[in-house]
Amino acid sequence: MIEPRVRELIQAELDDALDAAGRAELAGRLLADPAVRAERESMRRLVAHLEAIPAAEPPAQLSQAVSAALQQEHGRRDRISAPAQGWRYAAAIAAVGLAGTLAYAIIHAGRPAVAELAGTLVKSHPGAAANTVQLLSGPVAGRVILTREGERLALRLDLDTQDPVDVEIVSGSHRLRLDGIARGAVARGSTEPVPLVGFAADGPDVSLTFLRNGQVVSRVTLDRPAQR
Amino acid sequence: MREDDDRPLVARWRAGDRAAFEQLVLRHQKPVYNVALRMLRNQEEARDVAQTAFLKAFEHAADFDPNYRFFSWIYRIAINEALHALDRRKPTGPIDADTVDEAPGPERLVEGENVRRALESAVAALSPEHRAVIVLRHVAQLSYEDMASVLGVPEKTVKSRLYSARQLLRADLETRGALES
Repeated sequence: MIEPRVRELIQAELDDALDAAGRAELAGRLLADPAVRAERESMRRLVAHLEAIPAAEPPAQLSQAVSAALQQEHGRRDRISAPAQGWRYAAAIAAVGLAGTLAYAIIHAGRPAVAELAGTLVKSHPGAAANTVQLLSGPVAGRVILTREGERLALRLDLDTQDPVDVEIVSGSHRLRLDGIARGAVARGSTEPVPLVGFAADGPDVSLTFLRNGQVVSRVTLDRPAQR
Repeated sequence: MREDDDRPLVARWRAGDRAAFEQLVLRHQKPVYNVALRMLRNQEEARDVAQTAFLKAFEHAADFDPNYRFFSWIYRIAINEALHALDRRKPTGPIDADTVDEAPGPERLVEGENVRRALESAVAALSPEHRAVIVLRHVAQLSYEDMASVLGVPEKTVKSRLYSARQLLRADLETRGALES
């Protein structure tokens, strides 16, 4: 039978919380009693196994989703506190977007940048509805999947692009930007859905603008999945 | 993570610098996600809990006491969110298919992967209170003092819970044949 005091000393030693006096006391107990030595060895092995559990890497889009939500919240507060500035900002973005689109259309006249297969329904998981757009060619290829579970919308991007692209997501007055989406971020087969916080489930369509080095390279629009 | 490492970023964040908070997210996302993952054993829920924890921290910047360490605070929020998620999950919570315990049986398990899986299952079988101390000690590598701060209990309680949790784990692993008795 191991005394509670000895168990306490063993635990403190394993947790690097034993002072010099405690070490001396434990050393004496270890020398005197083989049962104490067996107990210490058993606990040491347990702790070694616990310490050996490998840490998992967080999903690539965790920090991006947090940043996007913060940016969205920041934008919302700005609109509340300074509506005129917000309108000027929105107008500036719209003008830049329009200019980029026109420039791209002129440069790539006659060449379809994106072939869309809109309206394809895929099942993400039970209870969730999804709408997928396939990007078959152009600067950005892959799939964009908009999922809906109840009133929550989320977006998944399976992109095939050699260089990172930024994605601006807009629906009505809601806007979200994801920076630096690249093939490497989705190659692991774990394309984490990005929650579209604040986007109304039954609101306007969701438009995505893909940008590379600040230039618009592609656009796509998704209908919202109907509630099941 | 040493407390002094976070202080300049925390000061900037509390002064309204959002980029400083994003740096704190990058710095702490891995341990926070792992704490949530070990508490919940579900990747999607762990991601949601980690994300919610950071957003709540940001929203409640005014409530943060700069005399405390940022990581203690974010762990406290994450643990509470994980406990709420466990409450919501009852009585039939989802478990990741790839982490389902396959009950190794009485035969002795070999060292390595089987021991790890048995240990993860044994941790998941602990009560949330016991699981929290194991996760904070062995995943987040917190001291007794920091664990007490995160959990809002005295150090004596932390030691007692940790001792009980380890005894339960050892008994479970011995039953599974994953640890010599």
